[in-house]
Amino acid sequence: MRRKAGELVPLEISVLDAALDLRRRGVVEAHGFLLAKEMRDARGARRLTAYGTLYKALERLERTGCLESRWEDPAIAAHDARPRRRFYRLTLVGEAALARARQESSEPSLGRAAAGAPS
Amino acid sequence: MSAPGGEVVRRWVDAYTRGLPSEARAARRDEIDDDLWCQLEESVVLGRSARSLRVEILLRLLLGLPADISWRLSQAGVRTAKGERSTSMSTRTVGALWIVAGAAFVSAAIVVAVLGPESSLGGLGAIVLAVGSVGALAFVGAVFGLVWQFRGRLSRLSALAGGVAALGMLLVVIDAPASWVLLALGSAVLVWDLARAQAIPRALAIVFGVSSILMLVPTGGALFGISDTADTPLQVALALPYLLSWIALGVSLLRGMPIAQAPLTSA
Repeated sequence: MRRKAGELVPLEISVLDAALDLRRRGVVEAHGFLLAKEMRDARGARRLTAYGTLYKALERLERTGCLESRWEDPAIAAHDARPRRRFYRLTLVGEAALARARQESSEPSLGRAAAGAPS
Repeated sequence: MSAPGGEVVRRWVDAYTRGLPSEARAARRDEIDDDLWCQLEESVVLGRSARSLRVEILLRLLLGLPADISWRLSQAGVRTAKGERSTSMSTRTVGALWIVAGAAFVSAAIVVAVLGPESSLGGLGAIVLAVGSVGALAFVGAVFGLVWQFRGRLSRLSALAGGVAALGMLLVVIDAPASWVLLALGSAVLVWDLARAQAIPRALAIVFGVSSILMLVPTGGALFGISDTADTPLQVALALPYLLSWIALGVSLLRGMPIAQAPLTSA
């Protein structure tokens, strides 16, 4: 089923949540593995998100403006003797999309509460 | 040190990004490489066993396959822009010569098949002869151009085959026996080696080779006295795919190869 423009799937909400949580802890930019690890720890899971699923979601979030990315200076990667790294940063668009998604997911319960409340 | 199972992941990334521009391939490969590197680092810190890490890596690979495939399909036709094909002015010139040669021989062959041998056509016959001669010169130029242009990537055998093909064409001009055999086999070997060197698509080399053999069927029959089909519409019909494959080869050289498929440039 084709989803509406701007609509986030649960995995994308988790990615944005992870990016926001990291930023609150002072990590403004995060690479793919760090985001996957944050998501795993947040949901208390044992396994990290699959490679294909994670990087496809990151690309879509970047394409829709929810995330921005940059490649680190290759000299840093060479100095640390590891592969070069791509860093993602949560944007204002991403924050707004996350807030909207949270609001939408909480609306049905609010609706039920309102329906059960005495008038 | 690399993560256990990491090599399988890398091979899979290499497979599903094949055909994409080199930058897109490198970006995906580096991102996965970094992820594997971090996963290995974390497992060392946590004191996990190699087996447990391997299982998790393979699970992450397997569970992500549908996403990888759908991502790859979404990239098809989007990123292979015209500017990302690799070709040069001299390669395009050689390509144009193949097109001229093919077009000249196709038109001459059709006229001969429909109206009869050029000797019986009067003024039109002279024109057919002139067109054929231009085609022959273009073919010789195209063959030597290919051998020169890709000299660093072709084997000696295929360079020799190119010479045989050019010789065959010169013998065709003087109507020598077996000339088409030399021409077709020599050019087929040369084109096959070009595909091996990733200068043209493999499928084109296969079509070229098959059509050259198809063309030789009536020639072979006539040579061995099995049939007498020289200059008949049947022979022309069987030769047409081969002559059209010259044009296809020319078009391919004019367009160049996608950079992701042809990392090497011509010599």
